[in-house]
Amino acid sequence: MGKGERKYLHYTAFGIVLFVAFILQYSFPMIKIFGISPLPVIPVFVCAAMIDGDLAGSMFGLFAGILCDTNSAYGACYHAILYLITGLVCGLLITHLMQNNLISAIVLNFGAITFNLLFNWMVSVVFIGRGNPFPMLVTDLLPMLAYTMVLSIPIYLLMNYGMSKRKKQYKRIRT
Amino acid sequence: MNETLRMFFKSTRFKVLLMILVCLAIISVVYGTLTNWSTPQTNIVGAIVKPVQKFSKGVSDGFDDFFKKFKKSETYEAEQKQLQSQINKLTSDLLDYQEIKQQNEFYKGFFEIKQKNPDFKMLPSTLIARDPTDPYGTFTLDKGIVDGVAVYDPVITAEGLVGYISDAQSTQSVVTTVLNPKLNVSAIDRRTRDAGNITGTPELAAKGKCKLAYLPRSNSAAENDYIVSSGAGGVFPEGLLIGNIEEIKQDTQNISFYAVVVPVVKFDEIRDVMVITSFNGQSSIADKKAGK
Repeated sequence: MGKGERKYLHYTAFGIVLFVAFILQYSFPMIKIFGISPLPVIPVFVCAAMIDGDLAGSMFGLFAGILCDTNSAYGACYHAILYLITGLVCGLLITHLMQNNLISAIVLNFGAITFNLLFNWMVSVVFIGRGNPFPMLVTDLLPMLAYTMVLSIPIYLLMNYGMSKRKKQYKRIRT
Repeated sequence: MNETLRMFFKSTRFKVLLMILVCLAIISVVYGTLTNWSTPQTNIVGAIVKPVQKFSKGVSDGFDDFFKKFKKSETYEAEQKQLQSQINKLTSDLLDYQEIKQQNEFYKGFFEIKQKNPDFKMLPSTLIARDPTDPYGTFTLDKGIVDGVAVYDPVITAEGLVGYISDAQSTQSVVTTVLNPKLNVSAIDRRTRDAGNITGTPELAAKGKCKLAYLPRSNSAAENDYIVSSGAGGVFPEGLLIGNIEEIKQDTQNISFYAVVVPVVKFDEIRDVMVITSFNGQSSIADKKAGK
């Protein structure tokens, strides 16, 4: 298998993981715990950004956003733009400032999920200007953040393990 | 040696012994057969033979059973396959039955609506996804533009109004519910005819409720009154049940009153809905926006 083919295979695998996460997020009610849904799509493209850098991160973010926009009433390209920016920032941080390890994954995922949840909250609750928007932060967003953070750790470990295995195989073939 | 044996067999002693043995044998057989009682020799022989026989039978049965398993495994396999196919068929029948029962209940609810509103053109649709990031219960249906769905088409269940299509894609569409502050439905109190606007707020949406805003100060609406769509504006048809009033409060931002409404539809439990693709009095504005 050539280098190009391996690259395609790698991106296809990440694409499939992202699609599975999307299905779990929107169409798999069994993933809910005490009525709280996680957002596994965000950790998947953040981890892709950590592994493959800013360009891949932004492209996976865009792909994830396009998928999510099909089920959203926020408006055209809302998630696509938001996730592209998130993926790009995560990729840039990993390329220039941080190392690819579990601590960075937790920090980046926390930042990405919090940013997206707060942005959604502002758009769908605060900007509408009706009633007190703050109770929702505690009752809805905080449990969602906690659940997604818990999920983000196995997602990172799984994706990073798959990637390191592939790198080892590639090194063995080269030597 | 041979000579000695030959002499023994030819002797009178042997002949007497043989006669005694034959007589004893005949007596035993006749006695046993006639009286069905066990004779002493059978008891003795039986006592000796029985454990061996038992062991032998046990071993034999064990082997027999062991080999029977192999011998009959094909039969068992065939039987197992037959039973499995029967189970599969029964399970499939049960699923069909449950599906038909569900469909029957689903359509039975709409039958009344259709009878009351023969002008409604309804399209059955199924929920395929929910948006967990949206606090107002937005969900996605499996029908889109190719099926005749358009933006602003009302969505109902047998219980009442759910919302409207806010985004129609080619093969699926997104529904905005009455819990969403973006949505405004002209509604009236069915008993008192007091008019207002059904809309959502974040706080009420979290509890699965909405509000009937802009009720006049002189309203006579009361708790448990049913709220239905008024048909004004032409987006929603007249008379669709929305919910019932839980309490009436004064609006802090203006002089009007508002009522907290508990929708009749349980948004978390929605599975199948009907999209009203056409009805008498549908607004031309909605038609234009929907591209009809």
